[in-house]
Amino acid sequence: MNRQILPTLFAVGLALAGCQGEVSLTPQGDRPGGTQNTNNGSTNGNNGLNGPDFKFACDEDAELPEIPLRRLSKEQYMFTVQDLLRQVVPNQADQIYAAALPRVSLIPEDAPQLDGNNKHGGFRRLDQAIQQQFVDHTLEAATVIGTQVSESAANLEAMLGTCATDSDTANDDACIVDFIESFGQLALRRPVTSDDIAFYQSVYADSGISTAGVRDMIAVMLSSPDFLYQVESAADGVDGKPNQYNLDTFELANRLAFHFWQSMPDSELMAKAADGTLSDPAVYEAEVKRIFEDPKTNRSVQRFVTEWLWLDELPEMNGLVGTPLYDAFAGEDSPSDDLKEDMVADVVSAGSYYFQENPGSFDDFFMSQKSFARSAELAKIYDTPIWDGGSEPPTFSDPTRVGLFTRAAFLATGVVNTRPIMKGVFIREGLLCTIPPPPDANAVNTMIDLRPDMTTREVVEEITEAPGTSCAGCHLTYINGLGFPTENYDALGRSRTHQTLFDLDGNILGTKEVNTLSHPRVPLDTIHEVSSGAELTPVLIDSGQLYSCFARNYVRFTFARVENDQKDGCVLETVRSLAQSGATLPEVMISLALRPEFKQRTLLENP
Amino acid sequence: MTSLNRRQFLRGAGGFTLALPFLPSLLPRSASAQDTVFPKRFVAMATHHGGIWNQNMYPDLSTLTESTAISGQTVRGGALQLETAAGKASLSRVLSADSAALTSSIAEKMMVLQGIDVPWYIAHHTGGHLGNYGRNDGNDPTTGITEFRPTIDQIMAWSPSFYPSLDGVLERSLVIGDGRLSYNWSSPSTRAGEVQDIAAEHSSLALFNRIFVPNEDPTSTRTPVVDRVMENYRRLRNGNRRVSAADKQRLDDHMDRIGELQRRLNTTSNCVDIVVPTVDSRSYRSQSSYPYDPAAMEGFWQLHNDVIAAAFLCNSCRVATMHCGDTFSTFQGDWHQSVAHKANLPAGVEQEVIVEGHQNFFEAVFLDLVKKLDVEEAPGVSMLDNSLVMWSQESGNHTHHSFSLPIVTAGSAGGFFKTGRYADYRNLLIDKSAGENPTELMHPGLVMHNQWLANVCRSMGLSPAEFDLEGNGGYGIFYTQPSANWYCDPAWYNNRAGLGDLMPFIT
Repeated sequence: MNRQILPTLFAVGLALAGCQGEVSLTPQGDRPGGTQNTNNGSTNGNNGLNGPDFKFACDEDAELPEIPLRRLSKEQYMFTVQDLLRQVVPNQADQIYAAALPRVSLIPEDAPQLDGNNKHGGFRRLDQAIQQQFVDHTLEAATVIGTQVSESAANLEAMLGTCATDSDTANDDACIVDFIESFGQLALRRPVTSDDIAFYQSVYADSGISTAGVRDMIAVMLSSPDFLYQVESAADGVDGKPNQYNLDTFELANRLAFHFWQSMPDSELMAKAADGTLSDPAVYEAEVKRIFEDPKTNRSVQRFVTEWLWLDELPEMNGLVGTPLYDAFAGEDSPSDDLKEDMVADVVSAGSYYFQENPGSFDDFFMSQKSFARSAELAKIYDTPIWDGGSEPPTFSDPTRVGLFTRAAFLATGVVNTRPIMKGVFIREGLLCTIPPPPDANAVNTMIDLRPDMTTREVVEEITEAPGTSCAGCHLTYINGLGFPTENYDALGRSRTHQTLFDLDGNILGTKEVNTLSHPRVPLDTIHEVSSGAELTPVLIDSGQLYSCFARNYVRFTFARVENDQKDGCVLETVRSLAQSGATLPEVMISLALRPEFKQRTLLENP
Repeated sequence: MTSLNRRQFLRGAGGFTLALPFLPSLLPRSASAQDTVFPKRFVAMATHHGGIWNQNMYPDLSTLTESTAISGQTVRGGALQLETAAGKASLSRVLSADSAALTSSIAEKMMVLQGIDVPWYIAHHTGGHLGNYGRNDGNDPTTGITEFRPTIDQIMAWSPSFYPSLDGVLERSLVIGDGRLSYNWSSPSTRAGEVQDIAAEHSSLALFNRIFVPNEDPTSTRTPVVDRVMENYRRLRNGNRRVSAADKQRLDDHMDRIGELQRRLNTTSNCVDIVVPTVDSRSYRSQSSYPYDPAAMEGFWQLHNDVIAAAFLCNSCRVATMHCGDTFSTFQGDWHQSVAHKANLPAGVEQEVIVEGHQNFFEAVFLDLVKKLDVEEAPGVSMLDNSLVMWSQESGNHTHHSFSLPIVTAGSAGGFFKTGRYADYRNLLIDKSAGENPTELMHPGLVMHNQWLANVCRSMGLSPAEFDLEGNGGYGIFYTQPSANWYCDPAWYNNRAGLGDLMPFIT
């Protein structure tokens, strides 16, 4: 049973005194002198300690940090090209995209990052570097698409209409202008101006229907700043905020679409942008809900869940298969090539389930005991039936497997040992947004080894909790108490009561009972006593810190920049308070899109 | 030296063949081989961890027969002595290879440098190799450096001194491998904007295509699409739509790259009769056994070596960086924890794994490229002679410690460096014992890493005005921690040389 045993600042004071480089206990916003390089000009100014109750202060008068000209992520670019083609040439879209794919695949992958040195807590959307290969290969792909359209009569007719293929040359000029207007509005995702028409006519630079002219127009449109970036020139200013502007309806449509769908707006959304009704709050809210309910929103949900929960970092499970020690450990559960992906899919599917398919609250998601294992291999680890992907997911047989962090993806290591330190770091940093001070550098050379007579926990305790060492302060305060409660799962995520002890050749030396009794400090000034994931989960929930950290991550993901506690306090608090109140995750996500900050941008002409 | 007549042929492991014009024919028509300053080339290879004991990494100390002083402290140097036995040639345990590859001629073109320090706790880093010291894991418990700076390879790549002419240059630099090694301003031509990571390439075939696949038919009378794309960006930047100053910078960044693309599209390769490779490096890396298959790693990196050598031979590029996180070992498991962190256990079991991995890298990657570059470009002068190939490691003889970062080079950068040398810049008056092995001492160096990189920049023809961004004479931010701690004492560095000084023994 979880119980709170030491709610005292004195205790944490003692513990922190042993840490190298104590964390600041003050909220941070802009960090003076910004020493951290980022690609979006923001600083990582948070430490997860935004107040005693983890609430954010909302200053309605604060101006938002600027988000300069957002580049589409590679994933957004790929979805946008496909969705555009499907809108204009539905029957030929896949064939045309397949022709461009070899070029598209050469575009560099975006790196999940918080800033140049830290990836934890970061998202691919924050990687706003402009690479030479991005410019080169998007132009190449655009040219391939232009060629595919222009050199096929069927494609040409599908995209430009019969005016492009009939024998009547008198309609050719109008045909081209019509194409610039119609295709242009889709590709540029805004109304086409007379200036645009004149420019693209100059690109066309031919008379009649010209293959080269059509090719070049398409290539230039699909390489344009309006296509590759979210250009937000904004409409009218916001009262009392001289640098803050309301987005126009097209820009707003783009924000919504790229946020929820990772892609361009559909025709319905564009129509509401075009007739201006999107600026009507009721219409806007209805449209946000429609967009959210579209299956395409799952693209963003999956991306968010994967990056928020560090799932990209899960190692391969079969890397050591074939070595005597690992084979002895895995036994009949020797991992396949697919197990890692199955574990990731379990968490991502849980996200899809609670965020969209069967809306649930943050707590529902966090405390879920449903198995989303769709492979026999993972289902065996969970001791559940295989989930068919459609019906109600089965429930874990182990009643103590409660809490997101008890899913296999957060327990499995790819080696024989569990990693209680890394489990603790993930919960402290990834779920609670508190960054432990860096370890004493002397300590990082210390290996957690197999021992013939000690459990992994005992080895970790011996190395990191020795009284008087610099390790002990931080490990006791921040890490170990969060990592030990799940030591009743082995390095494949299988339930266990005892740890089998091996030598390096895989010979069994004995077994030893695992100890899950732990003393997590959540928040840092309160010590609890727990013995399982099931007991740790309410500690995390009750602290309120989970919701605060979730808010930080979701705001980062939404605005593609690191949050600023002062300037983003209102949106952070909106997400945090709703998540804590039991609102469903769709309600949380929608609520942020309804905030004025989502519909505005700061634009500094002379910073 | 490989002596080739009228036409040279490079046959790579990927099966591609290039018919190359004789290199002097690539030079300006008014120049002759005798009076021509040949273009210089730079390759940086960076590997992880280090942690190699001095006795395994460096030549025998008895070869250090000369001495001189840096600010009153003795440093040592000497000629590299190649020992050959049973078909194996060696300068040290790591620096050893088949005697057919590591010849006395190659050894005479190498330098082995010891005692070059980053004098603060940079620990896990990738930026330190080439001067972006802020690219670390923020492990300094005091302050450290987190500001980013461009790396020297990119300073070279955008330097008019390094590239006085871009004729035939299809790529200013090749960035290969695991990323986060090369950095540059987001707008390189104006040295403006954020400093950003340059995306690294894993595909030797993609790299090859960027250099050797001919551009589209230049006879077209239509305005090139790329020019129209540029015009389109200018329309937004300078037009009537409201854009912020930061938006404009982003547009400038993009247009800088369009400009580079325009330049490349108007450039043709100096090489002819190109046969496209049949094997791509990704075919090796996609193998599930790759992480513990040194032969596959060798294949992956040698294919890139082929492209680098071909690009250099054709004068299509003169800068390459390779960030190699591969272990070149059959070890399966967590290398960082199970090998690198145990490098200094006195029994030496893990040390042997590290030695084997680094020896494999030296022979299969470093030496492989060195041999490929050692082709004649003028009578008696090879392309390697006009190049500098540099291999650096993340840490010194203790993992995560940046004392005495090993530097191994080949090529004299056109005579700038005196090669065939082993230089030891350590201050032996100071011992720093750390870790589990009390006999594996660390001695702080008297040459700072910033100084070494400045020497490299100068060797490539760059002026201090081009590379001394901080005004300290060296390259990159120079930092020492404010007071002594467990890691080092800033007082140790009172006697260091000036960051802009030429280094003794090798210059």
